[in-house]
Amino acid sequence: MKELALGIDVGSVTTKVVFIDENDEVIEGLYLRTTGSPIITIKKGMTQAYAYITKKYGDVEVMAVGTTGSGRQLAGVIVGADMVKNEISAHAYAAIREVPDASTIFEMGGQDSKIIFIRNGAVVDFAMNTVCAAGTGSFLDHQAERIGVPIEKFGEYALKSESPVRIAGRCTVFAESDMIHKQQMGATSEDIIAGLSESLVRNYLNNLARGKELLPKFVFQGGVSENIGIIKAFEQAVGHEVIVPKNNKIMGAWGVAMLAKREIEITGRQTNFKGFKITELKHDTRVFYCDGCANNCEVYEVIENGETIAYWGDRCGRWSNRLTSKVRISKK
Amino acid sequence: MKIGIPRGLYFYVYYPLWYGFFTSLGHDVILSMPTNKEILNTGVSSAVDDICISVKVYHGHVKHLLGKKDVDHVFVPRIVSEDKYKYTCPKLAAMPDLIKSAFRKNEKKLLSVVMYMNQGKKALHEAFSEVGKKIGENDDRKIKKALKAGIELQDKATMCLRKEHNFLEVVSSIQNLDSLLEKPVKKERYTVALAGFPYDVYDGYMNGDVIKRLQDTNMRVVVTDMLEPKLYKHYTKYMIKDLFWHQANVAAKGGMYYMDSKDIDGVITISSFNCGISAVYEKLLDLYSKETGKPLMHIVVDEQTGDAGLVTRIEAFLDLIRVKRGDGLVAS
Ligand code: SF4
Ligand code: SF4
Repeated sequence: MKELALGIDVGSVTTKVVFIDENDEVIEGLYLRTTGSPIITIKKGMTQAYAYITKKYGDVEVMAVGTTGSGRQLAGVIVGADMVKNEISAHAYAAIREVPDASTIFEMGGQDSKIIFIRNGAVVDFAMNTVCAAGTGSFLDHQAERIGVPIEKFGEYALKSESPVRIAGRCTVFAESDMIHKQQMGATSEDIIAGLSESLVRNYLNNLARGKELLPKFVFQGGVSENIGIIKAFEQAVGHEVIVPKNNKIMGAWGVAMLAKREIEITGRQTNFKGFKITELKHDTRVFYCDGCANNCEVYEVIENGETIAYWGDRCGRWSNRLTSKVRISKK
Repeated sequence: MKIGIPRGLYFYVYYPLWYGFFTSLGHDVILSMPTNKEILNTGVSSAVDDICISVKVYHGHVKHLLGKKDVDHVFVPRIVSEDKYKYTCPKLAAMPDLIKSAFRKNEKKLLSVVMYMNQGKKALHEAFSEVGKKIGENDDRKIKKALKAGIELQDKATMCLRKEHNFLEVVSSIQNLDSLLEKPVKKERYTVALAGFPYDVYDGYMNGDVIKRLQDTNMRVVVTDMLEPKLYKHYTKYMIKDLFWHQANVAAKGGMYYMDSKDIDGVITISSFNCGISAVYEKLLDLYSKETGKPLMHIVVDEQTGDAGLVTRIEAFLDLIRVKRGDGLVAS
């Protein structure tokens, strides 16, 4: 039976599901838009991936599961994770495997972006932007809509530009009005798109790399790293080649799959994975305000087939402490 | 009489002195409850708009106490200076005025007085005589005795801090600091130092419970207020000259001292969004971190508490520290 490890990265816009084999190679990787509830997307991803790999390999056994991303906790209780890891460590782990002597990792996703500084194969510093859209993929999506050029074509357009216009990119609102202005002045779509790409990169570096030393090798990953226009803009900004590794869009999920596998190998534990049957179970989430004290915590509850399997968000543990034992039991 | 003390700002430095003074005069000390959503919200809505969150939260604490029928006075001192030729931030020096203008109706309940700290007993005696007069205590012998009790308690609290008991422990053991002094401090494999103004470092509701979060993952936490100032005096040289603000000096030089300490794995600064003074010590620590290679992370607290990005960053920082010590990302 083929032994696999599963990695799931739940972000706010996309969910990534990855299966890796005994050599840590990705045999199936899905990049899905998180539509509706993340739970539905996770299950959809698992069902799709399961169909594909069983067709290819027959019966498989999942020996380790890891989750990451902003929804890592939720994903972790739904599937039964062996490792729940923050996305910075997960992304860095995969990047270092691909480019062992990487020094700087640019990661640009749909809703957030990060920069990770690596020295001698270890993370030494990082910065994250979760609040400002200027410097993330959604900024590009939004502008694509405005200009009427599909986002997939953005890279191509940017490369065709001969003299990118300079667009004030400090903030999406300004960028937009500046862009409209340039359009009215008669700039071509190519030049505007190239200008946008440059402004996105400038913005990203201003926000995240402030005063930090940018050393090669540079690795660029995350959904936006598909865009050749942005790759080029990065190369121009840092004056050096920028490597887009394989599996560039699913690095977080890949990284956490490998980490979960290490965890199981080292500890010799059994996996917590609840099996593919979870895709058939009924999951609900509920948010309520605890009235136990003046904190009025926003408490999240995850219910599986009518039974609560997790709580979080309570500052004092009033809710989550009730459950630790149950979560363990419902592992199998 | 019942004297209310807001749990914010200089409470996190001089509470023992105040407590000792008032209780010795036979009054009861009533603290506002630890910051929670309600206090934050009332603070935000009653304070002027463009002020730091630490001051806004303080407004919330004052309001909470003003709303208590049985509290006769709310103690809002004007601390102008904490060291010769060093001053506090203009907002702190203007605190009674800000509070008065926010809560005009309750002006009479406010008990405020100008204070110069650490500048001799005479200055203190003058200040506390005035406090005494305002609450109807004119007997100078009693004032002197109460002040002595306060100073003794403050000194004992300082001893506790020097033994690496944090200020929150001091607050909860205020009636029995002797036994806190005897209590051993648990050694852990990792130690993280926090640098910042005490009111930012110790307000767990505001800063995503950093202290608790670190302690829960078996990290020992030390804070710049634990250091004997003599230890970091020489860092003035590095800064060329001392900063104008006492607490910023403590954070900057204390932070540098920790960066040079072998047993400290990393330093986290905690500051308030919109605080210009914090930006100065943060920058100094950035530069020093570059020189020493000691991991450094900034947490900037704003009204959006408990956002997922903060938790992710704290977790990633801890991973970084573990890897730096030669421990892996897994099975630790
Ligand atoms: S979960 Fe705990 S801290 Fe939060 S409101 Fe309820 S009792 Fe208070
Ligand atoms: S020093 Fe900074 S945090 Fe403190 S009161 Fe002044 S502005 Fe606010």
